[in-house]
Amino acid sequence: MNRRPPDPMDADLDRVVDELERYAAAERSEPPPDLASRIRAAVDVAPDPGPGWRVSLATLVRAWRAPARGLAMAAVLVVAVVGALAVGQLIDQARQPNVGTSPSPPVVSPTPSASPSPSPSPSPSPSPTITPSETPSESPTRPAPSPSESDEVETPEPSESDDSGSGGGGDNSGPGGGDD
Amino acid sequence: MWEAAWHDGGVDDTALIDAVQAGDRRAFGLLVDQETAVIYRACLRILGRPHDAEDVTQEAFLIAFRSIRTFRNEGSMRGWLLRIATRQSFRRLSQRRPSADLDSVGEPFLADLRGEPTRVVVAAEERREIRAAVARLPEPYREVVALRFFGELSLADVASATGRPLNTVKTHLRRGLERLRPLMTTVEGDR
Repeated sequence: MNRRPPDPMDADLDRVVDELERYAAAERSEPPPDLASRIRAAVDVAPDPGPGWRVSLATLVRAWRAPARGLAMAAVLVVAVVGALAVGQLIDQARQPNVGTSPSPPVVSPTPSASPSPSPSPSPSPSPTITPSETPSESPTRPAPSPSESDEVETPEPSESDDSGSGGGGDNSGPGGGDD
Repeated sequence: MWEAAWHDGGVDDTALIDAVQAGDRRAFGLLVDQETAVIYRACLRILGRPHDAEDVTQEAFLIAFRSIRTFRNEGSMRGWLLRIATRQSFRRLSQRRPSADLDSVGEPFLADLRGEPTRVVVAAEERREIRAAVARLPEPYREVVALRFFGELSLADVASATGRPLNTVKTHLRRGLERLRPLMTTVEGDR
């Protein structure tokens, strides 16, 4: 029994234990006699106990086990097919730049460069040509200024638009296509 | 069949527990009859007020009834109920407004009033100090101390009720007592 010398710490703890046990012994009053019947009455009107989250989870898992297996197999198949398609597409993309990059840009680049240049040129040109033609018919005494005005108005616009259209389009399309 | 399956250690018949878990209210009524006194005393030791102890005892049984199917047969039904009851009691204690704990003087005070009222009041104050000291313990020490001393469970029962290894429970109890020591010496020193 007394092999070890008593530890003062253990003696302190023993005192705490004694104190707690004494307290528990002092608080031993019985419940009121009607407490159990009151509790039973409360339980009688209480709703039925729920299944509990473990039971619910187990039921859910059990219910889903068979369909889940089929779904999992379908999902694996879908993933496999999508993966194969993606790999094939990547391989195609990796091969494409070596075979067909050089011919395609020259084919594509002229069409956008040509389209902007004609569109500005027709719209300004009809309006100046119509107005000078009407003015000479009304007053033939002034033939000289009207053609010169019409020439001044007409000539710069198409020439500028032609120059800028062709030059600008070519400059822009060239390096752009080259970079791509 | 299971009506006669009671013993001092609490409900131990699996047939009764099965019936209770199946939602059999009559079986649960027997459980209430058997365990009310133990649960009430544990609540009273934590709360110190008979009315609060009655309320929390009823609450604990209702919670137990609602969640009866979550009870696993690893520990005793009494341990499971005590765990619910002590937790509810500490919750009620934390919600209580700080006030003079007149109820804790209770019937002993009235009975001994003609004898030595001063001594009775001092003893009531000491009990209040012990309750407060245990309530201030952090978890899991508080739960282990409460189940062991207020619920009067053995350490093995505490271990099975809490689902912790016995050695862990012993360690928790020792640490809980060590933390209580400075608080309890104040009570002892006053004597």
